[in-house]
Amino acid sequence: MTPIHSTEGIRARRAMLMAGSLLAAMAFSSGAGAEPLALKICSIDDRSGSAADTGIESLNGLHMVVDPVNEAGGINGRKIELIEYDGKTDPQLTATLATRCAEDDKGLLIIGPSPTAPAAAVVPVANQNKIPAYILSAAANALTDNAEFQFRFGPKAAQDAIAVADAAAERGFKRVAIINNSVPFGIDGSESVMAALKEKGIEVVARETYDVAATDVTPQVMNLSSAKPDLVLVYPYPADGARVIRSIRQMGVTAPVIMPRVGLMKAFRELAAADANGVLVPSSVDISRPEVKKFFEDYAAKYGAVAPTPSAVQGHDAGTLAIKVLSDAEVQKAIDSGDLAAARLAIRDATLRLGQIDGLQGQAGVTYQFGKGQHHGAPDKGFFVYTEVAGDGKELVAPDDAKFRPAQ
Amino acid sequence: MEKLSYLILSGVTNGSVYGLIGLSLSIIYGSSRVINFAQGDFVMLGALSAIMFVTTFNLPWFIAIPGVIGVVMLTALALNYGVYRPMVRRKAPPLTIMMGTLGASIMIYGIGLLVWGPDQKFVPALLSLKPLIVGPLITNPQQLAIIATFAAFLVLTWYILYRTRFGLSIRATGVDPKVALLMGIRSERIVLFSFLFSATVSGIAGVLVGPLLGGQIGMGLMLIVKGFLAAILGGLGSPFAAAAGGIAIGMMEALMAGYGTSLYAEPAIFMLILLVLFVRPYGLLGDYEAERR
Repeated sequence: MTPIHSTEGIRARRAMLMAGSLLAAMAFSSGAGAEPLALKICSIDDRSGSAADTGIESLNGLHMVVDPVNEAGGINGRKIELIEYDGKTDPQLTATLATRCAEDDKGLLIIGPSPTAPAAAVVPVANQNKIPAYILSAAANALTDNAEFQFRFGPKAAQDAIAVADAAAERGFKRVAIINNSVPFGIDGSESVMAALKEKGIEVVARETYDVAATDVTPQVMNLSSAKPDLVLVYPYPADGARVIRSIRQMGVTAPVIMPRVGLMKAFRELAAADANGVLVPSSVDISRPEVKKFFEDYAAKYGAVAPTPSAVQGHDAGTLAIKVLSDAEVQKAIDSGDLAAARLAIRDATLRLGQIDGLQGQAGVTYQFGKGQHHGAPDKGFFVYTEVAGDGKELVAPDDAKFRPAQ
Repeated sequence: MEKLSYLILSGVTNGSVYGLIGLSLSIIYGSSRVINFAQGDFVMLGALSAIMFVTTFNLPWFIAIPGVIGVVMLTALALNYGVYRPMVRRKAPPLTIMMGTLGASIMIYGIGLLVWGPDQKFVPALLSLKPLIVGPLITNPQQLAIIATFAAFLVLTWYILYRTRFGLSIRATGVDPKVALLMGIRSERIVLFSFLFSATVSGIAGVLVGPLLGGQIGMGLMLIVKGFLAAILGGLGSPFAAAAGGIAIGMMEALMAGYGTSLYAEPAIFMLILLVLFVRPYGLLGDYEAERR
């Protein structure tokens, strides 16, 4: 056996290294330019678990922009392949699926997930593999801080909070009570809104927290009621949101109730039924826009009717930008070269370059703001409208502005 | 005073749910010395099969309730014959059997996913969810039914354990299954009964909490944590101690939320349980029950 530090041993190792490098270079040069890359997009979202409806609707929304492009022949004659993964609202599984997309499937882009925890699990995978990820509704504020490859289409919690504080200030509310569950979504949401309300000089008269497994939240609602608020803010998950609103109605609290995000979710509205009527929700979907109305009509024709929630729209908008980016000349050049890393980088750069699209979220004329140093698309102003739950939870309608005022 | 009454009612309601799960965990532990990790799945099966019978098949409750009990009992039989008995006969230690029940739990979850899908579902309420005024308090009939059912199962468990020869056999098997076998008690049958009975308790708990918590295949997991805490706090070997543990946790939660800070209620309760266990490692009533046996 040749000693590792002998002169002959070193020469032999050098020769092997050179031969290896030469082979690798040959393999690389023969691969590059020979085979263009397939247009693979991985849709990773929660199609089972507690946030299943968000993932199902976002995928349907994505199909609504991708399918017509494929039916028309694809981009430069190549069809988009959607690889669909169910993250099951499990961050660890979601990270594994993102790795599989990046390493095994040779995906160009990840679209999803929707909730914060799985989305946060995708971020390190995206940055490590340098694959762009279009995250959808994840609300955690810091998710796109110092971002490299992740982009977010939904508003962050602080923007929900700004929308709530703006509405409260405009309508003259002075005494706000907050009730949230004890998971990060509830705590983050309530802390963000407390900061936003403080800036507007609005007093938070009570803040209550409850366990998501509690069958009865009467103690918290009692404290909230005895603080005599003129506005109640609720930050729950769907099932506990139904319990909270039932308890609020049961205890005779008459102040208007705002429930950011969850108020739009089908699971909450079904579980709360009649008790959900009148709940106000800041939404990034403006149903008064004709193109939004048309989108939901087309969606209903294809997949069955859904309430106009942001998930389907976010899938649509992420797909719209993905198609625009994939059609870009620089991106096509990188794809044609067969160099996966270069193609992903070109997609990231094109997203920053072309990211000011006019999507279906936000009020008319408000565009996404992706750009250099800006990986969070939703602007602070003009992105929200208020919607009201009606029809025993089955409908989302424009709110009755007279009811959305402090009691005299 | 009115506030305190509300807090007690709320504590007893939540405590009854934790107590029902703790009771069912403890019944199996008492006869087999095994913690059944699939216990929460019986709650899930109770809630979701109620949807199947009442909403999907449009059956009346007097048929649906036996149907629900049938579903959970069949599952308990499969768990007993498919996991517990083969492992015991191969002399597997309790920890290995517990891992077996965890595996079974994952399988039940998977089957639930295939049958009911992933979405959160509306579970029809056996009784009304409309407000009900009881003296100075406002509650709803479904919540009162949870408390009443908890009390009924406590009485039934007490009667079976302490007023029947069969109950004596159960207690004897719990103390030492081998000696019980030598005394002519067929311990496998006793354990089978405990699986069936505890599955019924959890299944009925699922029917009752489903309309309040929403039916979803993962719902058992969040409940079993509190149920397990209840059993540990009260004393795992005794169903009554576990039930008392559930009420204690429910009351602590309510009083902490009502008079203290709800934001830190959960960590404070866990700390309190830890302190109790430092002083009484077998739980609040564990020693009492051990002597009583």
